[in-house]
Amino acid sequence: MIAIEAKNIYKSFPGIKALDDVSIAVEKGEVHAIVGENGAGKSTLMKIFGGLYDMDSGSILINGTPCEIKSISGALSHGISVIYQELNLMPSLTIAENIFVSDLPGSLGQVNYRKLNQQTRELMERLSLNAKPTDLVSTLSVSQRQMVEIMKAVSHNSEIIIMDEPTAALNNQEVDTLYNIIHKLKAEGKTILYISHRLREIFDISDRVTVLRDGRYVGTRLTSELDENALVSMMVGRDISQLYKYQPTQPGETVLEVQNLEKEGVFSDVSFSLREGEIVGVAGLMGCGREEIVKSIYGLTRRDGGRVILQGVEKDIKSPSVAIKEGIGFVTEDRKDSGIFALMTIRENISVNILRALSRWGLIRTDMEDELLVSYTSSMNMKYADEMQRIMFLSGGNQQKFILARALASGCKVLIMLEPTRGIDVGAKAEIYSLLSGLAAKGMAILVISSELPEIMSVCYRSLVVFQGQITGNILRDEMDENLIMRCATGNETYFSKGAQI
Amino acid sequence: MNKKPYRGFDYYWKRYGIFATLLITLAVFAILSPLSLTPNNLLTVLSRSAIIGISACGMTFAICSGGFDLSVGAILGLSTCVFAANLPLFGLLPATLLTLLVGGLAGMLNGLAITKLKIQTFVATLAMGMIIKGVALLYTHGSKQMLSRTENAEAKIFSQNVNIGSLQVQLAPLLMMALVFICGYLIYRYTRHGVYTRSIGSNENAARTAGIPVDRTIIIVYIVTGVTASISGLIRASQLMQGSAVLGDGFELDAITATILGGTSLAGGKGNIWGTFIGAILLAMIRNGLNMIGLSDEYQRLTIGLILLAVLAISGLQELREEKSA
Repeated sequence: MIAIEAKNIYKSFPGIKALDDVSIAVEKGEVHAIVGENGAGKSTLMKIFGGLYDMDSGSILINGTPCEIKSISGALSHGISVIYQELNLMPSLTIAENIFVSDLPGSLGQVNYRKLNQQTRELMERLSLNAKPTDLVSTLSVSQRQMVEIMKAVSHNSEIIIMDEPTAALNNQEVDTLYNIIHKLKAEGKTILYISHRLREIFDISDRVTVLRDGRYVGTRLTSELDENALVSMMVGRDISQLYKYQPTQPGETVLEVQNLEKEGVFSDVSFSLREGEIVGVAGLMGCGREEIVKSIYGLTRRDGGRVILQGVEKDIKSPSVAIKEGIGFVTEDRKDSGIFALMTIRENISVNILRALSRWGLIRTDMEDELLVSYTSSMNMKYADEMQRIMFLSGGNQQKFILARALASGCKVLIMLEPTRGIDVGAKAEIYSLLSGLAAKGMAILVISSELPEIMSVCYRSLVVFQGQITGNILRDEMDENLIMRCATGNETYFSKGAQI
Repeated sequence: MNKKPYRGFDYYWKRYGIFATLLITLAVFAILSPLSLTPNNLLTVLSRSAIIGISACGMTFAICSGGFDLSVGAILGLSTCVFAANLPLFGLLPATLLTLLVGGLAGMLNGLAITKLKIQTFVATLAMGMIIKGVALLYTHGSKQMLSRTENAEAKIFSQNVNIGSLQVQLAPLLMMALVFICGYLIYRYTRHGVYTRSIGSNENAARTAGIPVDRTIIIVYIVTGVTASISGLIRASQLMQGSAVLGDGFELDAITATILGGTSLAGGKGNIWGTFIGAILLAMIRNGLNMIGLSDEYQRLTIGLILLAVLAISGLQELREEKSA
């Protein structure tokens, strides 16, 4: 039986056809993955299902009957819940209040908290979330918040649950918990539409997969009949092995050395070094302290002690502007929150922290800005309309390249990159990897902090592993293995490759 | 991606909306009272708009950086007092410089409270406004500082009527406004400070991460709003030949209104210096026009409120449409 079917959907935005004659049919009770590169139209399609966008033409059938979805509440009344990429929770309310905020039990405007918390407790037991209904959402971890979003969807008794990149902020263990929930929902007969960039997840969890490319429908297959290469070539029309190949480089002189970094309760006794032309990964579970370690090196957060030595000279890096001056580049893990200046032009987004060099008599020389823009956009294959385009209108992959270009433009010798490919598509991912290895070949020392082990294993020369604020592993490329890294990341083992400089 | 620019109503509204509003207002008043269109009256409107305009120019930076400044009214009041009290003692130039210095200092305190004490701009500038007004009242013992017209003739320099042919105009405020806006535009558009201000308003986290001197930029922004409020204070003191702590009461809202009318977004990151310029003229024109047709202060407030709502509603609906389709 078909739970939801879209027929001949068209949707265009000014200057772009987002969906061009897309049709898709989802069986009741299946986990149906939707994949495609950024800009392929998956999110647009989901937003049409969720009532956030109107389609230009086409029809939607739910359980075989045509219906119009005009608003979010309209989608809910048709039994569709969408869990969007950005979580929409209110941190200062409790779990229970968040879940039932649109449907609080009680009468005359008074909330019946006993009933509310009871309802929530039942839901939490069903999905095995380990917390109290009265816990504030602000005290929860990202994965727990994700769970609350899912409970919100389930609480509406929706038959169709759409998950847009649900694992973007989750670590491997948390992804497993999410899988369990999806299995439970499936067992209850719910239909799940699952969007993800992580191909592994598609194979782990989905029954069927539909591929979109450039707003067009490419095809729907049984997941069991596909392998990763076949899926990727459907998505990009190319083979993945053509996309990125590791280029071995021979590390040179030590550029960055850190000794005994510590911050009370977060990390301690962290020492490692980084050499020219070396790409070093930093693996670890969420909350292990690795972001805090590198942010303290960059001067973004304070630490209690430890030394940072750049090319043999100890430096006191108190702020990012000092770090940039000393030759450290930094790319944030959260583009939207601390990366892009959404309202500003792409030109300004590249040049913003080297304006001093681009000014004469205090006035910015836009011709020099343009030169800078052109030199980076052409060498990094960035796509944009014109130099005055606002960066918010670019795809995630292109935005990421602009932020990387901004860091490079300041002339860094050390590049710290957090989650280099979070939320960007396969094609752009491969391009970022090639850029990184190209930079390493030219002598850049690169630190890659990533939650995706395959990423670390495909681009890094060696990888550090952090557990509870301490380094528990330093593994050379030849010895890297997912299980070994996970054992170090969970504190079950410490492993230091022989002959590897730490 | 976006090869063909889309040019509907939204496109033109974004660029020329405030200007169109100004022309419509002008047309309405021209019909209601033919005298509104005389060159003399138009020049009067322009020079009247200077006091609001100059402060609003500074305010544009504050709002663009993601904040605003509720203390400019109090700073204006204090400035008139400082100027009126010190002019007889020290002469024109020292009194003027001292006034601007006081304004800048007040602004710096705002900036320090916001960046170093991490107080929200609303609270910081509200409290600072009260403090400054208190200081001004103490300084003048609660009374007006009158300037004697004969003894302090040079005080008139900021508001002297000048005859150009058959036209009579207060030239100084116009020139000062022009200078402030030209500098404001150049700073906004072509300097690091301008870019930093916009980047902080657009995304403060990203600005910190990118190594932009966030605190310093914000402090400068509030020093500038303080100084521009002082310049407005000089003109007002000169026009009224007096200084009083209450002369700036409610003025901060005028400055914010002109800025917002001009298309600067309270959410930060998006500023429009020339829009502010026109916004200030629009405010002055509405006041002047309603005066000419004999409607009193309450109608002026009502009209300005309605126009503000209408302009923002059009922009708000537009943003809603963009969200739905982008």
